Amino acid sequence: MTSILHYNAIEDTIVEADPTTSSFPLIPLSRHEHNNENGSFKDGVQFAWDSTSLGTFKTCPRKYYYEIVMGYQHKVLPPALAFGIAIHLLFQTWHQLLAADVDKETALLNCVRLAGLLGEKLPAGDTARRKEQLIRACVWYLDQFWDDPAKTVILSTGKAAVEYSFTLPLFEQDGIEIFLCGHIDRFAKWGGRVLAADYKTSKYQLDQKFFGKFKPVTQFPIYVIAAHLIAAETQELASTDGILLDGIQVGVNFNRYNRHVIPFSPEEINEYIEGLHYWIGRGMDCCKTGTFPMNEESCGNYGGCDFREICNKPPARREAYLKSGWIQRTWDPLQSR
Amino acid sequence: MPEVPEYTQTLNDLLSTAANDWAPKDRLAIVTALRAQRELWNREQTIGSRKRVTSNQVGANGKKIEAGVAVRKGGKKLNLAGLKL
Repeated sequence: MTSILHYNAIEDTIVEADPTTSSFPLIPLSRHEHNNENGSFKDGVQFAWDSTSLGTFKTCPRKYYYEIVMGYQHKVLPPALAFGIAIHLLFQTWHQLLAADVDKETALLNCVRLAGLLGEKLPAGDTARRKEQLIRACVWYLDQFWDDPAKTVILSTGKAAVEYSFTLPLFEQDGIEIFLCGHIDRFAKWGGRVLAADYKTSKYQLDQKFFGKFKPVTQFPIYVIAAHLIAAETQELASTDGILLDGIQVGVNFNRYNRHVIPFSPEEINEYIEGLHYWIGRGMDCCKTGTFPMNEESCGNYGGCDFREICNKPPARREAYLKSGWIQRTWDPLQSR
Repeated sequence: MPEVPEYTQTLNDLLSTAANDWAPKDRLAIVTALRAQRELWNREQTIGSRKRVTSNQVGANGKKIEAGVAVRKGGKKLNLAGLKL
């Protein structure tokens, strides 16, 4: 058993626990990376897809090969990713504490301690994404949405519908049943309807340009499709027609917040499902043939692909570079959180 | 000789300590100071100023520490006798 430190968000204590079985109120204080067999692949072909694996494949099949098939990632998480993970954990904990009947002031103080503990483990390299900024983002956000009109859905188990993991049969492709997987940050009731909610952090202004980045996009239609399927299957959640997106601007000394609903009509969703057929089919073809071509047009996007430093080496030397500066972990969409 | 003001503990001081050691009263002080920082920052935004409000400019008591006010660390009065200041 691997034990790591966890924060017990109800008892306000720090304990050791097995991260593979721990659940709320135990919040892991460090990431548990495993390198087990990837359950989302069968005979080398991915059959369970989430937005991360699909988006990576669309970006570049070679990147998909390195990141998803082989599981390579930098030894140190990029600060933006680490900060985003910590923010998600904090807000998830907040909603879980409220669902567990903890009063708001106590929940806030416990979230502050958790933010401090998580913040001390954030990687260096970005002055807007350190411990101080994490705690501030948490306190200012919770103050802004103290009486949040978007009410977190409470499941029949009494737990908050946060970090909602799903694995749903989608369609058959070449005789293989394809599953759609993912984790929805929160289901919230707002304005008489249920929305799948998501948090995004940015250093930039939360204007139309910021929100415009999220449609079209790979991630959100998957959540809307999943919400439809979950609603049909469980009767516990109503079907959704949009994403409630909370943008969080992080600066060194301030935060700003902005909330938008990103709507998706049934026609748009049908169009996305056609796209899923196409892209998942191409991904499976690449897995079957073992051919993962580079998409050189993506190398420079978003500040440059991490794997550019590998792809720009002669093919015979790439493996050695990967072994020296990267670690391998399994990105398995079937793992629930 | 001008009187040296009492040291005011800042938000930055509070955040610089290990979260593992934070008692509820420490966390309450952090929340109070962060709320004050938010209010001060909002005020600057409202008047159109681009001034920053850093965690060194907010006291643990939630009061703004005015620029130019000397503070010293340690919490004890320094013995300045005999020094050429």
